[in-house]
Amino acid sequence: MQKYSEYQKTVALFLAGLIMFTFSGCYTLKGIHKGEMQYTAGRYYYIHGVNSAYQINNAVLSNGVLTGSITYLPEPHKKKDIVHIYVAPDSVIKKDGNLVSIPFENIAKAEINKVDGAQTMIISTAIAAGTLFAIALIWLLAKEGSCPFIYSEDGSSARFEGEIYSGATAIPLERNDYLPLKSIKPVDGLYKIKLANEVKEIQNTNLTELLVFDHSPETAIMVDKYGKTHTLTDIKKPLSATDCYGRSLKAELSGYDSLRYISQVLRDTILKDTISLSFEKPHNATSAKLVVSGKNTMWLDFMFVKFTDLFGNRYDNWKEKRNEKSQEELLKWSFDQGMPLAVYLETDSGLKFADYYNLPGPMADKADILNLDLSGVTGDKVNISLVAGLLFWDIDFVGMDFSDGQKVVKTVLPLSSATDENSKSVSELLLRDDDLYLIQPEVTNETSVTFHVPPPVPGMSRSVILHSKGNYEILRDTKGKPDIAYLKTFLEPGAFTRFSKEHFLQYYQKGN
Amino acid sequence: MLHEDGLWKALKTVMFLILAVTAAGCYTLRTAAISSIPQKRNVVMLHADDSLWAVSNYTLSDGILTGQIYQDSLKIKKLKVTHLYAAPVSAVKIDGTRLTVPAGNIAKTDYWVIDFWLTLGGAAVIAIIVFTIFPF
Repeated sequence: MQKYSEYQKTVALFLAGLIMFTFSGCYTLKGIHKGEMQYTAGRYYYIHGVNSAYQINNAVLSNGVLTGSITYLPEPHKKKDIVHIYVAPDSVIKKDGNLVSIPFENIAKAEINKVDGAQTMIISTAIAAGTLFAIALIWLLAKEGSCPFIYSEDGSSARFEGEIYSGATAIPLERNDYLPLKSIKPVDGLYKIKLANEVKEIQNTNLTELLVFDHSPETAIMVDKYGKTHTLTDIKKPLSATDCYGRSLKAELSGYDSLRYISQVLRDTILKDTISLSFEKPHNATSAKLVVSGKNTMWLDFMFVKFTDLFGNRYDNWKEKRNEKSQEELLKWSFDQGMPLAVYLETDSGLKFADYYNLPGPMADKADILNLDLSGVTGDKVNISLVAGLLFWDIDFVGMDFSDGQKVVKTVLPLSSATDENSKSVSELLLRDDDLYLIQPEVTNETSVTFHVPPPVPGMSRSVILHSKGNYEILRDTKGKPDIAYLKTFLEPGAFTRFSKEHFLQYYQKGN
Repeated sequence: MLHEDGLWKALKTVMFLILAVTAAGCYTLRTAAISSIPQKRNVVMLHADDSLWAVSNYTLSDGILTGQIYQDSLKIKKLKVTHLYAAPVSAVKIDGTRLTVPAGNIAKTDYWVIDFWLTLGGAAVIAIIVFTIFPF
């Protein structure tokens, strides 16, 4: 019996995967004789004029004229259903309302998508290699940069809830954070959470406490970055949502689902992505609660780490200098580079900056809320723009709530115990917002914190939010002499965003 | 030992041939504007309906493409040619060996280029297959 090496088995599996990919098909454009087009009824036709373009369907070829209805539908799923038609000159393309007609003799070329076996095989290889690379990259990123991970206990296991004070990468950037704990349940009369350092950072946590809200089952509770509680009873989906290229994002941003939005990156001068949204405004609304659910991309973390690499053997000096700066200076730089998600509101006197969302981190979606003052908005719509650096945010949902505040019972729970991985009590370090910090410098550091569960309020639902405060520093072992002149260019607004985009295009895209 | 050396040499030859063939490249069609045809592409193939002309020494001036039609049979390298698709065919004017067509009647311009990534991917696939057959 022939024996096969592990290498051969691995490659055999790899090839089997490739063959399966190949059968799923990869398309390439092939020219067809335009006489064959009559057999393509029911397909989508992309009409390419010399300086114009239309997408039509329900096309009919009759008396030497191809006629069809303009459609603005997104590209159909099956590429094989698309026929590309090249027409000249432009003047022969007649548009009558929604109908487009073209003389048959002016069709210079017709193309359809056909499966290209060789290309499919090759691209499948690239996809497989890319997937392996992405997995490796994610693993590396998870080891290189993020912020404290929070787990909550539900009685059967500890569930990952998210990260806290993301982006607070220097002492002056220390901030409050409000993380909804969706999975937490009382265990033996206690709420139990864990703060874990799972990345190469020194994490300094100043405070942890729980905010417990008892409220109507029809009401959702959120706490904004200022610590203000908001009730939501009627979250509206956007009437429209488009990216900076005018592409509709309504499907992606209208629900908490698998449809999401990450920036499109093209070879152009755009460095920041702008999502334009429009919401129906109730007649008497004077304020609105804007909800954004999403996370940062791993790419942002990766690029920040790449940026820190540029400091070489001066990295620690740079960290120290950052710690000497004011919070305003550091926030301004971060804002100028498009890291937070900025919110602009269209008012009667123009588009005005309203506020911004803090970084939620790349590991889990976080729903965050901001209150918008609508006193400068008349009309029946609220139009806003969300602006951030290209590829820095991965957004799942955007909604707006105009409902009045509801009655809630809020209980602030101080911790009842906190013990580190050596069973040493660290309660004093986390109990108050003071000069005492729980410092977690190692990847193995893990602190368990408990809170006494308050008695439930009959007929009400309960939401639990972790209020924490802290900062962290990213540990890097960077070497080499830094290019100070180049680093100074990063003081300019948008420089980091450009750095990120250039890397992305260099590594992952070609053409456009 | 001699047998293994011989096998190794044969394998190296096969690998070299595969790489040489692969280096010849996988092609992909690139669409361009009529005004941005690379200079090294000195021949255009003009398609209009079922007609086809090979045209050299072409110029684009005042919105008119003008060139000389090849009379003899032609052997042209794929990477030296640009394909133009014009409509209607009546827009193409022939005067002896001189061909003219308005740029506004050229609906599509494309040419073949070596697809670096596809070529590299092809080489990777071949290498994987070869290494599977001849594990080291």
